[in-house]
Amino acid sequence: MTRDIGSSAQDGLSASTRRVFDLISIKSQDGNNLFVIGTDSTVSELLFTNCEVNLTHAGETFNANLGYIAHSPITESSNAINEKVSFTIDGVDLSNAETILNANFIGANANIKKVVVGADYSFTSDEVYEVFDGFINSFNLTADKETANLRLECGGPFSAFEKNSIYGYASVLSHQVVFNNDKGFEFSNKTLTDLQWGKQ
Amino acid sequence: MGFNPFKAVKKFVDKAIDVVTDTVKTVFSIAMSPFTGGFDIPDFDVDTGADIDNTTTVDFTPSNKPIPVCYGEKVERAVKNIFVDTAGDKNQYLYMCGVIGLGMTQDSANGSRLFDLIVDDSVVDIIDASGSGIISDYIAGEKVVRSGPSLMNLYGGGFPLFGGKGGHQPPRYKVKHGRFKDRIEFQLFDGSDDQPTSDLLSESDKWTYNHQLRGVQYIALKFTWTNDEILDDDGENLTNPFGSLPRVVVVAPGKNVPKLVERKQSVTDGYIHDTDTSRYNYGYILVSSPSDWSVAFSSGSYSHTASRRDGYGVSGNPVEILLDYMLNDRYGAGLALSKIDQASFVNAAVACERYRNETSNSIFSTNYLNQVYVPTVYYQDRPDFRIQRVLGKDGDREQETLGVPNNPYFRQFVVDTGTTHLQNINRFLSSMGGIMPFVNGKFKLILENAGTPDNSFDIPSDADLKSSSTFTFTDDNIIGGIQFQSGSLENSFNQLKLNYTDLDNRSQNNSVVWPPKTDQNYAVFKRQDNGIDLIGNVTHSGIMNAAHAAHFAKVLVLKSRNKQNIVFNTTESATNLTPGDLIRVNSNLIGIDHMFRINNLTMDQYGEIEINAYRHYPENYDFDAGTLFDNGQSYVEFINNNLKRPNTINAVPNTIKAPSNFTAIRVIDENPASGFTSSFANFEIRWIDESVNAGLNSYELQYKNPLTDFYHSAGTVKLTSIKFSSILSSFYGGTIEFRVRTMSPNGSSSAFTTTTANTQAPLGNRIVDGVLPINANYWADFATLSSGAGVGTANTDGTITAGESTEEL
Repeated sequence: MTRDIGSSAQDGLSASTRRVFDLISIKSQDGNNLFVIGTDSTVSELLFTNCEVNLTHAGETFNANLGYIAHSPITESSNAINEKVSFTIDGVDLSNAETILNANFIGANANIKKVVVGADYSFTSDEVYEVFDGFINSFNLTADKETANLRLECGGPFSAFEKNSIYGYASVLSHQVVFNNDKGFEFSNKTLTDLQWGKQ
Repeated sequence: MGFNPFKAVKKFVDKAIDVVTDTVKTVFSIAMSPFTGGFDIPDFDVDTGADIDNTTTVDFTPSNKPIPVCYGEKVERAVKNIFVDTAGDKNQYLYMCGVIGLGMTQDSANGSRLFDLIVDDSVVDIIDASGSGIISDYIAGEKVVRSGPSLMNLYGGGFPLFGGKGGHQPPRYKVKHGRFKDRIEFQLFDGSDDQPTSDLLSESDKWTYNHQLRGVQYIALKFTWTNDEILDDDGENLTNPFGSLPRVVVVAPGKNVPKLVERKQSVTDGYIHDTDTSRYNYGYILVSSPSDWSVAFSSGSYSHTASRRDGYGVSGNPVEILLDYMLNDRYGAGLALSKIDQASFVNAAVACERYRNETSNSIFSTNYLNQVYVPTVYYQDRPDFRIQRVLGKDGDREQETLGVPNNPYFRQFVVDTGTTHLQNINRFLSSMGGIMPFVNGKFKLILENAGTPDNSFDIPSDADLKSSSTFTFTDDNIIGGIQFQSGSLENSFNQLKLNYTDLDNRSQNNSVVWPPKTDQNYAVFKRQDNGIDLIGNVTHSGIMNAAHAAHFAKVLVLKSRNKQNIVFNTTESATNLTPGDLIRVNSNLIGIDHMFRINNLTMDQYGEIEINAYRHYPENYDFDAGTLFDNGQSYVEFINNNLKRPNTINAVPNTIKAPSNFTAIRVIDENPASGFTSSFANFEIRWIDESVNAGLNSYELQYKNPLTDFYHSAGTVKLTSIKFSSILSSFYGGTIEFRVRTMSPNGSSSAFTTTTANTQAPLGNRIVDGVLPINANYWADFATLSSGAGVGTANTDGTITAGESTEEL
């Protein structure tokens, strides 16, 4: 089994010279905005690349020169564990710092793709492959007099697996999470005392 | 994208990288955590023996506790009693709702079958339970109404059927044989989302229309407490078998899962997917490629209500079970199908479905000794395990055996929904040696085996693997050097005890040890380890029999030994590799040319890749039974200790018989009380209780004086011989009629056995060993009855002293 990277990408990665950049997307999962500027200017997704120029893939433009430099090493393991990846956006504009601090980043989808580009920055979709897909677990903003950095820490695909469900317990409340009005577990909490069976 | 607060200021790059580096250390630390991947021995037990024990332990107070999810073909578990009520003019009826598990089940075209019903540790005879009702419409548009035993004989293979899908009331079954005859009635609900309210439980005022328990598999029970005579098939009186709130355990199929592959039907046909919609399972569709096997994938989404005709069904295949848990959004991880790599899951599912030696048509070797496995030609392609326990019938009836797939990956699980998804997923993965990396946006599944993804019985040679390796690392594409780590003593084992769920033995906790001390491997390992005992202990509750457990233990032991690791860096050219892939490392630098399996793979920002891999020995993953032991002695011992066991002891029918060999011998009281003479009649009375549970019974003795038709109760004793004394002198010379009956602990009683005796005997003479009546009626003319004889008192020494009352019987 392999990653199923396209043959063009494999050729590019095996070439003696190669240029590989990141395509980062941060998207709200629930349809809400990541943050709102003022009263009507909304941002529902952020797209970055560490390429020198903007790159367009699948109809979306990934913006260059917005402070994204690198992500942390990405570990894939044979173990089902919750891996973490982080990346830092450098030079954040603090004119709307409060907006960023109140942003709806937590739980947003974070996706990292790699793209193998030619000398003229051209590439095909076959030369794009995904290396990480997860959720933003936390973020922190560090500011000083000269600049500000936003660091986003992401949980891997197993991060949601650390949870368990509300449904599946012997109570009416739990059961009605899925089945409204079903009172099947109504008596599960009744203490069995003085049961008169066979007392003739 | 609109306004963007992120402005380009390319400063402090080094700082940013520093932060990232710190994170790397954390990530690496996590990657070395003890979660299992492939065949591994975790630092903690994924399962514990308590997990096995709890499965069959009855919980009478399930309030707000997790309802389990049951996976497998014949899962034994105690029900959770969520409703109990009594009714009837004498409170003789007990209604009970026993929850089995979450989710819908359908293991055959007409619904799932109840293979065993166990009440108070006694098997209930359900084979010919009468029933009438509607077989649910698992078959499109069909709603069949049947009554009587034919309902099950025709449609359930002799076993009661679950039902409810389509809103149809499942059949009501009444036990007609065995110790619970006419005392248990039940309904089986399949856990479908539209199942109706039980009309059996609705006989209780408290159980109303809204108590549907939709999506929950359960059994509705009605127990009848009666001391009335109920005769078994032999005409014996069955006593009331209940003592308190009944403890109910069932053996039934688990919930439906998305099927990836159907069981192999013949050598030549290959694997097929059952999309059959006919009642008789005709019309299998043969397909040629794995991508065609999954109806679930082609539908595009997971279904909670899908039946067999929709591509779902009951399964003992751990891959299909894992897939269900990952997709289920009620109690599972709730992933979209698009996150699952279909091809790798299908490959793994096929590997888990294969049987030993299928190409040679040979049967599992242990078959030759003990007939645990079906040896006939017809079943060569499906060599089921034959369970040697009594299923569906109580002990005095013909034994029923039942098969489960005989391949080393057959698994069953009772999943605790109260634990995290990660714990449960790891439990599935570890039970099959599964590796599940998330790559390119999808979860892929690889079985850790000799090297063929869809066939764990194929053992390619090291040379074959090297020649076919998709990626070879040499000193040219290895950056820097190679770190080579030997195996360590603390992680090696020379013997392993593996605990498993013994389906053959009421699903109790059991264990096997591999290698046994008689096995040559044990001596070799001990010598290699300088005589040190390196013994491991692992529990896998999903493994259901000794042979499968031994295979698992063998792989664990072999893998733990010589577990050499390498770590090296390489270029982006290896990006296409994923964890679980086999690679060849041919390095002149350290003089190795071996196959390794990737454990971790770390990609940094600049494209450099660090690979952590462990040495791969294909022969470590030999699942063929012929190589399980290296000599006949170990093999025979294994059979005798684990497979060839006597049947589980079952409770015998609770029949009660009238006493037999009832005799009354007149004796002279050798130590008469003051004022009495030896002329008073004293008797030694004996009888035999041939009831099965004789030791639990007591006996009521009555007598009738010579002149009336009144029986007087002399009392109740636990013994079967007593001395009956203090018959008044007025009895002297008369004929006395004695009778005795057997009383069960629950109050049921047998018919009376009667004998007569005469009080006449020459004074001073002792009648020894003589059975009365002797000279019957000789003194009858002289006999007169006086008051004084009555209800007696049972004494601890077995005697009865006559009392005062004269109860008419």
